[in-house]
Amino acid sequence: MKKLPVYILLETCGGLTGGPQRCVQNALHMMTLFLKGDQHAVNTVYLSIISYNSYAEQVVPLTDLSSFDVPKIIGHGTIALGEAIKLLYEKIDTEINDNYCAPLVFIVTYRGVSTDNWQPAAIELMKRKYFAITFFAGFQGDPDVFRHYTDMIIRIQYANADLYNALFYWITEIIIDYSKNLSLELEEVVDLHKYLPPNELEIISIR
Amino acid sequence: MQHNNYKTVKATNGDMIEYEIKSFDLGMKDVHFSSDNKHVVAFYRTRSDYLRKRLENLIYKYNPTSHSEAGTYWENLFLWPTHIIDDKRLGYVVPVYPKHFFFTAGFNRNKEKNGRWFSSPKLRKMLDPSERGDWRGYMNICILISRAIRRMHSIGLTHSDLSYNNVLIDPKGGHACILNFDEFIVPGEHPLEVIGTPDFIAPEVLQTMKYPFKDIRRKYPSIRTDRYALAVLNYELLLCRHPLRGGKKHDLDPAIDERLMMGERALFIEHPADTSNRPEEKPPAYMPWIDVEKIPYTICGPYLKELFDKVFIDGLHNPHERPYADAWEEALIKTVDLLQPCGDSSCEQKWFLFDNSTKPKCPFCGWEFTGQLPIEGSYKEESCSDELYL
Repeated sequence: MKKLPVYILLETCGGLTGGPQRCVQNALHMMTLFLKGDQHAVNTVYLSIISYNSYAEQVVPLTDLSSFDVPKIIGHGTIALGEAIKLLYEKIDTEINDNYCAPLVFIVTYRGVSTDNWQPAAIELMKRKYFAITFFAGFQGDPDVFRHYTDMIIRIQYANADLYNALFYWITEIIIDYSKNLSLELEEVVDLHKYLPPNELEIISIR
Repeated sequence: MQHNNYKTVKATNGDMIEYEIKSFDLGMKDVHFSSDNKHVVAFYRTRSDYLRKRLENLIYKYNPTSHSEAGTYWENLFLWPTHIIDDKRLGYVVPVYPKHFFFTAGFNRNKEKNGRWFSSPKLRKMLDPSERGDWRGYMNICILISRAIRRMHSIGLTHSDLSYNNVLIDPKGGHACILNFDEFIVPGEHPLEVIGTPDFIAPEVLQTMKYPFKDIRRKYPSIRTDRYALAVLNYELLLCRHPLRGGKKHDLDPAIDERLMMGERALFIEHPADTSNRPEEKPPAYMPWIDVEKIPYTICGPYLKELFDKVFIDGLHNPHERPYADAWEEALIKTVDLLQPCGDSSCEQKWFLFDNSTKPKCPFCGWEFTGQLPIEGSYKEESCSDELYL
C-alpha cells in the first residue's frame, strides 16, 4: 500500500499574530485528532509542516501520523513565499520515493502575497507531480501569485475560528478520503472536483 | 427501466427500487439516493457469491429489525439494510441517516454527528454549545449503544470495529445508531482482515498484528474484542479521555511507544495500585477531563466502577474477564437512577451522581448541594433485568 505525503505550507507573517494565529493552531489540532483517529489515515498518511515568514523552515519533516505533533505557530516577519516553494520542491525530491504517491499540498496563506521573488521557484515546483490547494483568508490575497501552480484557490470570508475550522475540516475530509482509497488500493489519481468545498469556502479558481 | 434521472431495479424479494442515476463514491461501493430520498442504494464494485451470502445472512437470518414486535425499536439503533439487489450488480438498500444525526449549528452544520466529535474535550469545545449535550445525555447514549451491542451479541454477531467513528450519536436529542454493518462478522465466518480503529483495538489483537493473517498466534476481532471496544467507548463518552493514554513512556520511538501503550504494556491510567500511567500533562484545552484527581472514574458510580475495573484491570489482558454488553446496559440503567441535577445553571454537564455522602458536590463545577435529599433503595441483589430483554 502506498503512503500519502501531505505538505502544509503555513504563512506565518506578522499579521497572523493574535486571533488568526490561535484559530490556525486550534484548527491544526482538530485536523490531527481526526486523522489520528482514522484507521486508514494512520496507516498511510505522512505529514509535514513548512512555515514561512521572513524565511521558510520545515518545522516538521515528513512524519508518520503516530509520531506527528502539532508545532507551535508564531506569526512574525514578512512573507517569503518563494523560499517556501523552493523548500517544498527540495523536500519533495529528498523525502518522497516510490513508496509514496504524489503529495497533497495545502498552502494556508494569511496575506496571500509574497515579499520575495516566487516565480523561479514556482517554475521549478511545476516540474514535480503534486496536487495543491491554496487558501486565502478574507479579501486580501492575489490569485495571480498562486494560480499557475495550484489546482484550486479557496477563500474563507473572515479569519475567524468557525471558518478556519470549516476549512481544516474540509482538508481533513480530503486527506481521510484519499487515504481510504490508498488503503483499499483503489485509484490514486486525485480528482479535485470530487472534493468541492462546502458553502462557507468560496472557490476563486480551479484548474 | 429509465425515467428522467432515475433508474429502477428489482430487489431479490420482488420489490421495485427506484434510485437516482447520479452516484457517490464510497470506498468499494457506488452509492445512489433512492427517489424518495429515504434510502440509499449501494452497489459493490465487484460481485461475489461470498458477499451475496453475507447480505442474505445479515438481512434474513441475523436481523434484529425483523422481529415482529420489537423490530421497529431496533430500526432506530441500527440502519439495517432492507433489500438485496442482485441484477447485473450486487448491492443493498439501507435507510438514510435520520435528520437528528446531522449538526444544525456551528461550523460543521450539516455534517454527520460522528461519535468522534464528542469523545475529545477539544473537539467538544469546538461544537456549538447547543450540540454538546450534558452528562445525562451521554449516559443515555451509552445505554443505547450497550443495548444495541448486547442485541447483536445475543444472536452471535460481532461488530469487529466498534469505535467512535462507527457510531452516530445525538446527545442533545438522546439518539444513537451503530454503523458499519459491512464489517459485522456472522457466526461461522472467519473474521475479516479488519484493521480496526486506533484506541479501540483490543491489546491482544494489537500485540499479534505482527503475525500474518491466519497465523495460529494471531488474535482476531471477536465478541470479546467488541466488549473491550464497548468499554473504551463508554469510558470515553462519559469521561472524555482514553483509559490507557497516560504519562508512561515505553519507547523513544513514538510509533513503538504507541503500540506498547495500547498493547503489550497497556495499563489503566487510573489503576489503583500502579500510578505510573497517570496523565502528567494537563493542557487547558483538555481540562477538566484530563485531571483524573478532579474527575476520577469513580464519579460514574459503583456499578460502572466495578465494570471499568473488570475491563481495564482484570480483563485488559484477559479477554474472558471482560463484562458482557448486557452488564453495561444494566449498570448504566441503575446509574441513571443515581443522577441528580447540578444547581449551577452554568454547569455544562448539568448532572452528577449522588455519592451517598451528606454533602454531594458536582465534580464538574464544584457546586455543593445543601438541603435534604430523598433516598430510595430500589434494586434487589439478584439481577432484575429480565424484562429488559426482547
